[in-house]
Amino acid sequence: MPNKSSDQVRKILYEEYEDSLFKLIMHDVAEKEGQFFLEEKEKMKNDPGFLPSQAAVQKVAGL
Amino acid sequence: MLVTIIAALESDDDKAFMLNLYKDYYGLVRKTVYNIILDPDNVEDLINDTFIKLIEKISLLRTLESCRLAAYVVYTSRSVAINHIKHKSVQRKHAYYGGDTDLTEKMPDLESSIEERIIRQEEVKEMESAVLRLPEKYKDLLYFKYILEMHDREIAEILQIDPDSVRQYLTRARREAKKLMDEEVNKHAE
Repeated sequence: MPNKSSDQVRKILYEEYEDSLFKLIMHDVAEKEGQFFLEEKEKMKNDPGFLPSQAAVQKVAGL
Repeated sequence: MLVTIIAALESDDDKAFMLNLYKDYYGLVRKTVYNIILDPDNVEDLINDTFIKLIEKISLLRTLESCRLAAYVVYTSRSVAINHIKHKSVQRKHAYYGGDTDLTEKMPDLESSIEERIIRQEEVKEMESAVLRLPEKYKDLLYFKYILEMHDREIAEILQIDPDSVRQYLTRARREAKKLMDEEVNKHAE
């Protein structure tokens, strides 16, 4: 990192460290929260209010 | 528009994947969008916009296992819905405003002894739990950045903030998560 002071380099490296750490954390958070979303999705399958209309599905399917 | 874009997909496998995704996730996307915009007249359009966004990421989506796919779909629909309301509700827009810069926290020692690695793993678990308890605005930001891998300018567009401020908001979200984690740790220590 040319032309940067030691403090600037440290700040950049710390940002990169934080980004990597939170990528790791969010990777696992998405799995945990995703499990909850999957369960919610399955429950909705019994509710006609949350199903796409037949017309919409046919439109997409009939390509 | 959605139909036209799906039709433009070259592979039959991709078309089948998107059709299944549409049928499978329609309800969850509908609920997510509606809970944010509270406007039945625009729900269908935004559901379509969500799937259009998802089509752009089809190669990534096909690699995700089911839990992460569900999270990806939900947070994509949140980004579409929040983007929609940004001009409609000043109050909601400003809920994301603020900002500070604080990078004063200590740089962790990265020495990789086994003991320290175990401690770090525990810290990561504590942080996961803290992120799950964050207010939606912070959690959205972290998802947009680290799961949807949006560029700062895309995040700025959705949240109606200056692209140069995205880093500050991320710092704030991460600090909030750390604060929640510390509170939890202190609670158990008492």
